[in-house]
Amino acid sequence: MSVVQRLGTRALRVERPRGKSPAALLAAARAWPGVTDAWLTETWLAVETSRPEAIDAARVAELASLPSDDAAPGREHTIAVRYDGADLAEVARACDLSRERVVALHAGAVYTVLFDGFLPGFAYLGGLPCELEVDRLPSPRTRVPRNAVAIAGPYAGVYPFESAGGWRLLGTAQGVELFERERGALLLPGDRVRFREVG
Amino acid sequence: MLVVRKLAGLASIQDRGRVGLASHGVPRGGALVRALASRANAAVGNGDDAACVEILGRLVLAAERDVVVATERDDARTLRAGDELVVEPDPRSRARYVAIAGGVDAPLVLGSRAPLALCGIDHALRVGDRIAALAPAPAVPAPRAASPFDAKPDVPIAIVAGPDDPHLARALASAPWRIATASDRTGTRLEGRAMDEAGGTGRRPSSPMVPGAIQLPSGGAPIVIGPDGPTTGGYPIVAVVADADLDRFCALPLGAPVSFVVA
Repeated sequence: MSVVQRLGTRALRVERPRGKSPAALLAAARAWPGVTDAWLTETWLAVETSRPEAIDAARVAELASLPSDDAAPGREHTIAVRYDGADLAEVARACDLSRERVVALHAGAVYTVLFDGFLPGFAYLGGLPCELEVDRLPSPRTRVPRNAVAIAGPYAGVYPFESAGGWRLLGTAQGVELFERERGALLLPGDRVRFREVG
Repeated sequence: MLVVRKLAGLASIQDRGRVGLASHGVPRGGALVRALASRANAAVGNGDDAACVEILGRLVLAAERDVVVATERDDARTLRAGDELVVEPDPRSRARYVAIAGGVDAPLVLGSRAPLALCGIDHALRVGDRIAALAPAPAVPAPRAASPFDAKPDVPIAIVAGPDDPHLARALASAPWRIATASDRTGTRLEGRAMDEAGGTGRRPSSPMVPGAIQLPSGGAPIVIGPDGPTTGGYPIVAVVADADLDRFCALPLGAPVSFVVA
């Protein structure tokens, strides 16, 4: 497999180097010649570029010298959550835990934003305690409410807008705008997120 | 100033979209067929970044006062108060465009006047909506040069194989397809013989998506990501439409035949 994989004629993707600061990865990629956008998934760093030929293995190798995620963490957010989600009881049953234990585990973890995708401002959060890993719903809901706090597989997340969705709903984020017209997403790759239970 | 009198289908205000926000999960958006929007704008003297009206269907506009307009297929003209502009569907193009001198005014959000419907920023037009110019325009605007565009309906669309399952790009290019009527600005669906060797289980990790990426879900019916499509997705990308052919592909009318060639 090539280090640099073409996504057509104006974009490409490279394997995301593990453990590197996402903000540093994005800044480095945006500085490559011809690049007009850079974004991440858990396993890829992608760029849109007018000069794909200028991005070669040597340039990608330079990413190895970027600071680690621990050395350059992103912003910290604490999100208040009312644990009133439609799937809370089912998640407790599936994980063989009490409702209180599910809440304690979910609210006790420190999460890192791996990447944003699916919806504007939807952050895939890594760091979910493995006791809480559950499958997505077999068939997605047609309507998940705005600010729903949810989990699926190894991820946690918060729906910034009402949408369809297949994640399991644990609660509702209180008093937070996950996407604003002026600045875009609240939670960006590398940011740290905690959840705090409120009544 | 124009007012929407009649509308069948979808009409929306579009420009070049939002560049540089994929890391926020924000799709590019913007005109489905960039060159045709450019052509309409150029005819009234606007730059390529001006907002115009995109019509996927049929639209009737009426002038409330004198306004200089053009579509993607004709020269600028002045509509007098009370005049109507009827934009009929074009059997050769999925999208049509109306530009007004000075550009269409709409709220600028994150660098674009295009809708971001996922976030409740919806500039889809409804009957009775008013369309105003952003800037006062010269009475007789000087037309500008537009991007070249030739539909060449019989010439296959060039695709770049991969990056996932690149051998499936040849299978895609060896069969005839049709643009499904279920297509929208999020994705263009292809109808044809379902591809046997579909690899998409939906369980692979999300990977970056771009407009023109041809996803292959497990059902075997390919979906080509459109301007409003997501920035990440879980299905394999078997090929990506070459940028030089993306306008030609996006201009194909619903129901039209389409074939691909691996570049």
